[in-house]
Amino acid sequence: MNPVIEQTKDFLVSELQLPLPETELQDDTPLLSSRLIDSISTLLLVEFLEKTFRISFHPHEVNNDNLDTLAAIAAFVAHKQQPRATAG
Amino acid sequence: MQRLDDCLRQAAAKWPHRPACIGEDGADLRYRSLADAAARMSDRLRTAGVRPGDRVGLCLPKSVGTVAALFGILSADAVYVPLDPLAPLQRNQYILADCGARMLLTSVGQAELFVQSAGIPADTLPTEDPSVVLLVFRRPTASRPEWPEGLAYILYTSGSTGQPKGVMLRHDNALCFVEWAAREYRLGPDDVFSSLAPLHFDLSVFDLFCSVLSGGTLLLIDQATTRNPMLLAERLHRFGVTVCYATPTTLKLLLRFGKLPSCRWQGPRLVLFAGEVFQAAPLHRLQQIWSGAEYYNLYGPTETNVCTFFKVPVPVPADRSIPFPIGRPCPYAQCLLWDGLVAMPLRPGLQGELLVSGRSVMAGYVGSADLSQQRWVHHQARNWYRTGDQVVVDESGDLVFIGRLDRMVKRHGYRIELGEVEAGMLGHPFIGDACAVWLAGEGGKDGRIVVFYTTPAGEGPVSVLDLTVFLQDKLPAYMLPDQYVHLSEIPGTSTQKADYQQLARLAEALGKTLPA
Repeated sequence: MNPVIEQTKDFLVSELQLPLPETELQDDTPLLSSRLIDSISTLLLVEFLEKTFRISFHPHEVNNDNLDTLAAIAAFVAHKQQPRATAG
Repeated sequence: MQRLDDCLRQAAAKWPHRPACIGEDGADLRYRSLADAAARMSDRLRTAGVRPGDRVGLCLPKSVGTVAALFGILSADAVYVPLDPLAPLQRNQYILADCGARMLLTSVGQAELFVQSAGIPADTLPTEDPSVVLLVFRRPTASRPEWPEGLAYILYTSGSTGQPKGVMLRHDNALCFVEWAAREYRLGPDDVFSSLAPLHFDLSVFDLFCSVLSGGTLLLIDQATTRNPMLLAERLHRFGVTVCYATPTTLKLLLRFGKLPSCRWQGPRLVLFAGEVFQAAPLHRLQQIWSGAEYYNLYGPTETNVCTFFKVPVPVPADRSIPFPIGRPCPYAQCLLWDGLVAMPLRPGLQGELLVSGRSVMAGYVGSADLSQQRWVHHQARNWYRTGDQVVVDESGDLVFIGRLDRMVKRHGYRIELGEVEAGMLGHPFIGDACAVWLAGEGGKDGRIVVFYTTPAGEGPVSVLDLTVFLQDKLPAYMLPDQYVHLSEIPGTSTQKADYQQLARLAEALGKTLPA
């Protein structure tokens, strides 16, 4: 299992109190476009991702492309972490 | 000044070459050009047959063209009815029918949807902007003969009966506020106004008309940017906004997620907020970052415009636990307290429902004489609007908001009638009964809407995704519930009404069992 997906799922369910049983939450469940999470929860999610995975969003990166599904989030986090990994 | 569109004609004469309006896309217009564009739109509407007092829907994203169109509608002596382009089509359709709109300005894409679903024949006419069309509905005329004189715009707010209700406002209702604000806050041509509120939200009245009256610049900010505090902070800073009118929710999000300190910007000179309570702790932090600003708490339902104001001290004590007063009446507004039987003057220590009378108070609601009557108290030969807000007068004579007397709640500065949420749920084929309760947030947390519902005998709960998707077509996003709870039956009171108090306790208990 992808640790980014696991930790994010945990955050969505327990912290954001996503109105969805964990069984209904799949890697490709649309979160923003379905309005399952609202704009404020989206910001909390960004804050969580920045802190937990030590990445920093640029203003224009806070969008559906990067945040709509658990799979998209995992891909974005991996992309942001990449340059640091190669540099280190 | 007699009319709101006079503001633009005056500005075009006084400051023809000053920047009037800047769009999200970078487009900008100077006052002369904005006035010319508004005049062309006004001609367009007249050519299409608009008559004085006709309602014209405006369902477009915020842009300099939309601002010009809005002034064009007013210049044609018509009434603008702003619609949220992101709201469910069904809701917008209802609004257009309710106010008997004769025309609609909207995007080419939305126009098709409107025409297909309206059931009313309409002619689609081009405008000078190829992406915008004018729909002219062929309605039977004079279906509602009684319309008040001098209307400028109609704003729809959440309605307790399940449908939005239209608040009708005259030119003078807005002008008295706009002219007062321009004097009180010394607004001038060097000011840059952030236009944060959507046009269907009453905070936009200040942005639109105060900026034009004072010859300042209106910086348009769309909903996508408002929801992205980092982008918003960057935009406010880049354009040097000096006057910022926002809900406390927007300001708190900016503070928490906007990375403001990294901007190294001292902030606007004037920060106005309204729509809900701003707690002292976040306000204190904002004052530390935007250190050059004066802060004011403005109060007033859509029905009365802003009618009281309070200057917030700088710095506020961070540990203050009681909310700031909503202050004293603006010079054009008169206020009394109502205890259900007697109207009382504002005296320290007295408490009651706030009544408002005066120039800023609306002409009435669209097409609902009964509803209008419930909302008025006749006293001293005039009508007083019942705000539904319980207030107390503190020892220094300022009004302090205590709470609501009905089932209207405020979330993120938006008015939500829980009855409208319930009506939305009841439209679902698998829902038997639905009751929405509001769970107030504690310790700075946001409040939540919890919906309890039943399904026909033997049926289990409905999938949350299914409910969310269903409600999206009924309700604007800000009204969507935070939690759905399936019950076998809704607890009732002895009079067979839903026992909302018991449901609220249940919601609270459920909230506590969730993991921290």
